[in-house]
Amino acid sequence: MTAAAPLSPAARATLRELADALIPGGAGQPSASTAGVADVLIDRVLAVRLKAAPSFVALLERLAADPGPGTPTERAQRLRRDHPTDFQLLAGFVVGAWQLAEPVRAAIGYPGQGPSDVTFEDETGYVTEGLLDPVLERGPRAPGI
Amino acid sequence: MRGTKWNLMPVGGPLFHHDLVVGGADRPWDEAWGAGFHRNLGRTFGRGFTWGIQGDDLPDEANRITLDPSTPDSDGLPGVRIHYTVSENSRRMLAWNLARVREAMAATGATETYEVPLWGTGIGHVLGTAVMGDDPARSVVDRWGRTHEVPNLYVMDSSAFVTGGAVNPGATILALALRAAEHLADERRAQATPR
Repeated sequence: MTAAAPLSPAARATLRELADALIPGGAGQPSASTAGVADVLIDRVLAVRLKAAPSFVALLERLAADPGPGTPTERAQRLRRDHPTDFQLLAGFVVGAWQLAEPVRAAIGYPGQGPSDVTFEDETGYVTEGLLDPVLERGPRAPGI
Repeated sequence: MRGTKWNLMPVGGPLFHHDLVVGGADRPWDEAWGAGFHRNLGRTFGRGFTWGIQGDDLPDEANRITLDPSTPDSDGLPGVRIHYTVSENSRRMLAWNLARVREAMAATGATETYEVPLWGTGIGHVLGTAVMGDDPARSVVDRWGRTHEVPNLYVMDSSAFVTGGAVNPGATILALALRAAEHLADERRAQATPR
């Protein structure tokens, strides 16, 4: 699977406007543009969402070429009302990109995904605690079958 | 009929959390986006949990796999078409359990709850279609996972399940596979092979 074509400057500008309509900043959390959604962050999302990336890029290019009337918020609302699948695509990429920003993660208390150190004792503690003793004492349920 | 298992889980990261909690298509704009996005994310993220209800989907002959010549694979062999419908029993069972979950959530002091009556995409365990049984007319494999029709062919995964149960099938799959493999090894000199 190959990467999608990069966003044009016009598409990126459109993304910046619409992303800020979705995530304008507030409650101690940065806006989409402040966080860098329309810049390096969206490129990171495009690089990992290879199946959806071409559709997303095509959508942004269409919206850039024909934005329609109104403010960015009105345009985003119209997209959500009239083309909910396209809106969900836009929203998923925007929120996904936004949460990659370290200031966002610090603001909302989300450290991101990381390794979970599971020890052998963590996984076998229920054996040493005796939880399976009745099963072990019972033995095989259907011997000889 | 039959039962369910309840799984206590976190709600997930902020993207999934938003989709599940306030970002749905039926949410008013002012709740899901704009100032509402920040307000609701700050109010709810990291302050919730999920009860996942996992039910025993009864076997149904109408749920089946058929060959599909219109979607061949890269070798030209027919693809497959999955025929599956959620049964009335499953819908009623899940609805009953959802009502109990509401009660449990209320008992824990939950201030808001969000419900997904049927999570249809990607959640569940694919079982059956090569069911185990003694009668070749009503089953695909015998009690050891050996196919009735094709000599020396075994099916050792969840395809051989006759019923599903309400719990995650991984351990049962491993147990059946181990049992079948041990039998295969023990009986290796008696295997019929295709000519």
